[in-house]
Amino acid sequence: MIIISRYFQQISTVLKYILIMDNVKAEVHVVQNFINGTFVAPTSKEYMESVNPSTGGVLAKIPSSTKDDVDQAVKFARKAFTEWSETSPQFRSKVMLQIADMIEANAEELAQLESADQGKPVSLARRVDIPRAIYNFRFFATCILHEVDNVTQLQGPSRAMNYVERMPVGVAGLISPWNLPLYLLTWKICPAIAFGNTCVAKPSEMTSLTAWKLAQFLQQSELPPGVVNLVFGFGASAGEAIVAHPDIPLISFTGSTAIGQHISAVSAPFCKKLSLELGGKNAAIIFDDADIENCLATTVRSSFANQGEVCLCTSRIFVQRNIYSSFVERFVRMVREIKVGDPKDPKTTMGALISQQHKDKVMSYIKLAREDDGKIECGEGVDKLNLPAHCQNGFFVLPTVVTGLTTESRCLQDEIFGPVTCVVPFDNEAEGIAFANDARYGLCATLWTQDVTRAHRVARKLKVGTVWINCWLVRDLHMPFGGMKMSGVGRESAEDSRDFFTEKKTVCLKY
Amino acid sequence: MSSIRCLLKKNLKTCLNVNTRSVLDIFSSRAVSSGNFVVTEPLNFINGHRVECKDACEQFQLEEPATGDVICNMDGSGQRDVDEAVRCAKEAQLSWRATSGFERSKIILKAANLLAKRKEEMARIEVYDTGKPIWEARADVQTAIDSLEYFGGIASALCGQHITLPSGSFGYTRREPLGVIGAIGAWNFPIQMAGWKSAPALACGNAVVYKPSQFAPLSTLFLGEVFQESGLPPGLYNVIQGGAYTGQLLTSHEDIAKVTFTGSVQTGAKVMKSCADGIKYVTLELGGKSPLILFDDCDLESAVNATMGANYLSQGQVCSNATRVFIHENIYNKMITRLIPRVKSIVPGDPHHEDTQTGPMINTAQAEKVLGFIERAKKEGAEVLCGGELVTMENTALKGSYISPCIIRASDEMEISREEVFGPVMNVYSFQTEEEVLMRGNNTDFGLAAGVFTRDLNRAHRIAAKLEAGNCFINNFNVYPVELPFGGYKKSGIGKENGTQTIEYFTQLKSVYVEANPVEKII
Repeated sequence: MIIISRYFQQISTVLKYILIMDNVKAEVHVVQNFINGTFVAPTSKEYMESVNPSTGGVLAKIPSSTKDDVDQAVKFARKAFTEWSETSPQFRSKVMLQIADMIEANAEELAQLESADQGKPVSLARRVDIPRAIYNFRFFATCILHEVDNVTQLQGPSRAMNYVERMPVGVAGLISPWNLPLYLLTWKICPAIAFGNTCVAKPSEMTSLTAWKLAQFLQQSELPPGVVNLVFGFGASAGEAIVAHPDIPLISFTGSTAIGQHISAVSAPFCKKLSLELGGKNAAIIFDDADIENCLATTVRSSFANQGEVCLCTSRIFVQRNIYSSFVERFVRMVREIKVGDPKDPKTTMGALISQQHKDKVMSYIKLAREDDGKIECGEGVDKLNLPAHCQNGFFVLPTVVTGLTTESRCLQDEIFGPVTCVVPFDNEAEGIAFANDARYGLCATLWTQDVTRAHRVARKLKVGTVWINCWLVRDLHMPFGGMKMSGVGRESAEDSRDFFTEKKTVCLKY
Repeated sequence: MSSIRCLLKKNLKTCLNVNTRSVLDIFSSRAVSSGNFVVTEPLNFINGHRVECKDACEQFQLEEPATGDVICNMDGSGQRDVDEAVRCAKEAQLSWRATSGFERSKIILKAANLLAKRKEEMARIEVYDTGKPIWEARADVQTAIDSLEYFGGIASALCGQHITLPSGSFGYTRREPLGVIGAIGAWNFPIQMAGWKSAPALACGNAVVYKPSQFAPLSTLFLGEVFQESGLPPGLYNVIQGGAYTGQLLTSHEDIAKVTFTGSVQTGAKVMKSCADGIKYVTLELGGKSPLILFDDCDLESAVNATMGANYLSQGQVCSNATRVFIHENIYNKMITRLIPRVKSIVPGDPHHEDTQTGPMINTAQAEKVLGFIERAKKEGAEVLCGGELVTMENTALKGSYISPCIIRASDEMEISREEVFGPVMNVYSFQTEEEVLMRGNNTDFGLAAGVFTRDLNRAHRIAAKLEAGNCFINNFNVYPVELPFGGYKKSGIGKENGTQTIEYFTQLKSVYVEANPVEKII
């Protein structure tokens, strides 16, 4: 009996799954801005098309918001701030846990949407993107329950007590990217509202669907109207309006270094607090004593996860010379096993790039690699891409491995942000470190060795925000995340995000 | 300004004439060796003065370990002496606790500075007291200086917490001193312990009554004089001499708020019981039988060097020593072949001489205890690979008890594998697997220290996580920087010394709730 009921359960899950898939295919979603707890059309009444990267077909219509929409959103966010900033952490925690539960209850639908909108395999969205969005809510909802600050007592002649009062900052401007849409949007919204701010958020115009879905949950939750406002549209119009808005005292941005620099310049006259998580050109340093099985499997993943569209992806692989050729041979063989195809297909391990424009950029670097006398070991121009008929117009690029380039090559200097990785041999530890540090960026690195002394010694010398030893993308949200050099300004974590999203006030009392 | 004034036996007159000169002046005028040191000053230090016992309860003869000569006769302090010391400490603490952290910091840092200037004098006294080689004594003094500097820096940085509560109310916590600390030191590292205990205690605004071991009582007095010179108000650091009876008077005194003790497990248990009666805080640093695990992928030279340092400093009278060395079977013979000549090369000598590598045992009783362990181990079937014998010194003045450093191949169930020997005796064992060695290494009531030598990144941290000891080492042993908390697991103790955590052991926390709203009727 139990077996039979489980069987039916499975069938019904499959049916539901098919229905959802059909829904996504058939429907063209019309997204509206979410301001003061209600869905509203953009003041311009203009919409733009957002395509499904795996088919090239139109998936949604997105408001093309302007300064007027941002002004409206800020107005209500300011109004909501008065009360929200005075609520107790316990209340904020309760509301956020409620939202987490709603996301969890709709996880499958969100994973489907994320995949259709972004091009990533639905299996990845199901395993990584949506669970992390849920965790972001739960993590910040609970960490605000045990916050403390320092108190000092001055004895003697200046008998006085000092304590720190934390103030939410105000309306936060949050601009999130298209690679991990809901994951990174919630990574900003959660600390912002947990620490008592309200916000105006703008997801990437290319991936607005899950944000819009999130807004529906927010509307149904006990979150007061105006605490979270979503304005959809282009960076140049809506994003710019947020960055330049005088009533937004802090901006948290994740995206390219070029835009980060622009935001820095535009916001400078307002003395805004800035948190910038920008690009990366992350190295893997692989020593000859590495656990090679684990190293290979993880490096394939770290290079090509999410089509290589993760700021933390490995794009420069430095391998100690005596294991270099065997590494390349095995690595290439494993990369060829990556199945590029329809993101909805459960067998697919790599989906489509976000846009035609982005695909062109990635392809231009592969061309550049050839011009620099690099050897394409596998991928574009070497292997054949087989796609189902409905994906023929999608933006697919084969995972591509390049060798024979020097560290000065633009393929090893620029962030490509796609499924292209370069492998370069090194002779000794000093050279490996020098190669790894020879980049404008400093976001993260992976380090592969079994030697305890070397592991900790090399980790110290790498100029990056995160070093993963014998692993990749293992995250503890209590630990700082962020980049050195051109990879950004500021860190994010329970403690760091708290520092960013609050102002500390020292109160000194003489008694 | 007076230090411990010494009398050179053969030149009594010179010494009497140089009351205000430091010991160092006398030392520098001639080559220093053992057997020319006597003490005539009173040995208690109360309220900033050297004072005689008023209520002597027992008599001790203080012996110089190197020669067995009597340095002085010493009274064990009685009830009235302890009362007086605690009374002065209690009174002095009232204004000290109200002194700003910054002012406390200045005085403690000055003491660090003065001790650094007089390091050589202090080290010499430590050698007369303990018999350890002079270069070791200098390193010990340095650890006391480090502690004074470290906690001097912390004194002005003590923090409580601010906690935001709903509706504008809030809470805050204050770190407040405990009051008078009763501190009891052991004879193997007297000045180090005096530094490790008094520096954080004073930095946190407490007063200290210190009872050193009756076998090594002098350096704590010297530290008292350094404190005095640094401007520490009288009464904040007091020394009372005596043995177990005096210790009991101190731990059971009603005005002692906390006891910090270093010594044996047996005495530690008594101290804790005594503290239980008075509901007192207690920190215990007790014995050990620490394992050091050498895997076959380790750097052999480093492993040999660390194993030597883990066993033969201070004649092996070190609580954290790795007296159980587990060697992987693949490198067992290689390691033993390297270790034996190194151990044999340690020849006992006059501890005042620069090239002496090991000195005498603290006293005859301790030497006999150690030799007894070795004898019984042999009877149980243990194999002595080298040393373990009483050595008669060529220099006839050196009549102390010297034992040749010893390696014993033992098995796990023997007494010598289970009990703390506290002498220059290292046990070696061979092992095959990680699982096995972890089980054997952890199979002890003690848990002070443990170490692993391996190049393997995963294994190193995996083993560190599984060792049941308070202080674990990867690819080294017996390194104790002041920044790192030190303290034992299991029967090796309770609480930590060193590191910022120490603040929690010398303060108590007060919570203050501040109401922001009118109080409504509840009942």
